[in-house]
Amino acid sequence: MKESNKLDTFIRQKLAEQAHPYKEEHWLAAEELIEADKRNRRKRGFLFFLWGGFLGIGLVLVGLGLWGLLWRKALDQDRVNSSSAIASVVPQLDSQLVPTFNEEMTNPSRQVPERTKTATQAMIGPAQAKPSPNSPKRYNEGVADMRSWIDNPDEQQQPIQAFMPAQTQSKRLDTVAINPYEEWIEQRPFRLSNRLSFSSQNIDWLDWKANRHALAVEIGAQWSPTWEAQGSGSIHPLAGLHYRYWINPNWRVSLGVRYAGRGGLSSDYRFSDVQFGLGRQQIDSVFQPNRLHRLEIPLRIEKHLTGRHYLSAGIAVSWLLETTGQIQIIERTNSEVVDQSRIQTGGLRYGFKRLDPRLELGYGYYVGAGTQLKVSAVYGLSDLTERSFFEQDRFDRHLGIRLSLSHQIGK
Amino acid sequence: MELEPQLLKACLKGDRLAQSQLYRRTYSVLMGICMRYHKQEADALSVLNLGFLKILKNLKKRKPDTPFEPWVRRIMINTIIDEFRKDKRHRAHMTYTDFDDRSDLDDYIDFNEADRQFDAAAIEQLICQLPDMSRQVFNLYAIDGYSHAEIAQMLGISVGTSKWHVSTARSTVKQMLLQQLNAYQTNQK
Repeated sequence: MKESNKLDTFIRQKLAEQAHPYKEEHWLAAEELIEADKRNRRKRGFLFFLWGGFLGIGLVLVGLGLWGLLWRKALDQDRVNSSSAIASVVPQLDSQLVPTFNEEMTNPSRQVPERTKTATQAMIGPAQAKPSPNSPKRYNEGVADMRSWIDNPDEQQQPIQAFMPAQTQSKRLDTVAINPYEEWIEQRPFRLSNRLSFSSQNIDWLDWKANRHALAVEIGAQWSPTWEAQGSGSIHPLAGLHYRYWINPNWRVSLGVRYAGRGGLSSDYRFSDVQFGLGRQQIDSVFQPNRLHRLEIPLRIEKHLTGRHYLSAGIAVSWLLETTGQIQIIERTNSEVVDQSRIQTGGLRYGFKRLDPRLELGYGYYVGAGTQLKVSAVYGLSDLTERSFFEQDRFDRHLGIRLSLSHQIGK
Repeated sequence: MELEPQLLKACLKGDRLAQSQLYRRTYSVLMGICMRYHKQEADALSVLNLGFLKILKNLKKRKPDTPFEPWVRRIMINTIIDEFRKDKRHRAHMTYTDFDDRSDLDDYIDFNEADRQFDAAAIEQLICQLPDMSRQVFNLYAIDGYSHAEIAQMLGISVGTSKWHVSTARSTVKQMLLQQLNAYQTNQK
């Protein structure tokens, strides 16, 4: 056996004999750690619930928005289809159903002919048609108009269009006028804008063409605890400048630059200086970051539900500018067994992964002309690959809630 | 180390008394590992408790047919390495490649004599006097049975560097053993 193997075996055998007597105070320290972990898990559970809730609400709102959009498109398509169909039917109606002025004038009784067929009935048949509740009323109005035309000799050469419903006489192919679902469409109860008191027509700052290019300043605060780090859940400030571009009255993209503070990472950072002189001196410095100062470049897309409400979703890259935190300096010497600790504040940037991705999902509300209040849920990752052995600790996940106020400053 | 399945089940349910029992039963083994890797008892205790917490968390993932002691040893060593990797002071080390192990020095050690003269605590003290990185690598290789490739991957160093640390640690330990044996024999005369 090689000498080195003998040495290894000797050391292994000797160490196997070593017994460490159990100390009760060590268990108390372990119990404290287990309790702290239990509290953290509860906190994480709460945050997960909060995040899930936010996500769920966001998805529901986006779903509702999309549903409304698709439904509206479908209705518009119906209108176009019916318009085409009616356009082919109306000339026949003109020749078959609507008498000319001269024909009417030659009728001694001058009675309004019986006309119960609406355009829709003529088009799709009486059995399937749903007559508009407005049709009789408009018919009568048409009769009144006809009377006035008869009294006006200048219009005697014109065909009598008064027999047609009131609005078709001026605009024959206007399907809104003869669409039997017209009122129901306009008053559809599921339409979000009908449920809210604000109408986009009254909000002049949403003149999207005039404000197509705009700049906005943002200030706010965020609460962004991490999964693991205790005490990282404090509130941090944020401020930013954003460029906004309206794609159309409903959609807007935004690109900005923003400063945002964040809680510390779960991992502390240690380094030590060992000196050999008269005895051995070791100075350990343990840096625990309390706040990470980050520069973010967020890219968002925003969907306006109504004049005042909108949803946004986006991604951001976050760049670490600086950290501030607590440095604990521990001095150990061979001659003095007692550890000496002192705590001071300072910054340390070295050793952190500086570029992090994050996701944002937000809800915004216009509180005034050009001023928006926004609540966002933020989820981000910090890569700790270099620091962690266990797979579940590879990323320091953090999520937060952000409240910000932004104001449009130029267009 | 044989543990009753009921104890582990109770630990899984979060029974604090059972967890206390498990801590007591595994303490000697786990503390022995921690003391080999850390010079200060406070540091060893800190990492011991972290490792025990990881054992509790991973208990439900353990397969029933897995022997318990190797399993907890593995988790404990992983925790130690994890903490060690966080300590950035160990990153500034040299990289050696194609290192030729020349640890079989001419100095002869009478292991029978050494066995009589040194108890386990003395050996533990000798290992603790090694430089940090060499101590970690030597512990992993010579005592815990990891290969150089595994150690290189775990600690983020090259295989050559791992070999160099083992060789250096062996030489240092051997020198210390010889010095103390010579001093003892001189005193005897």
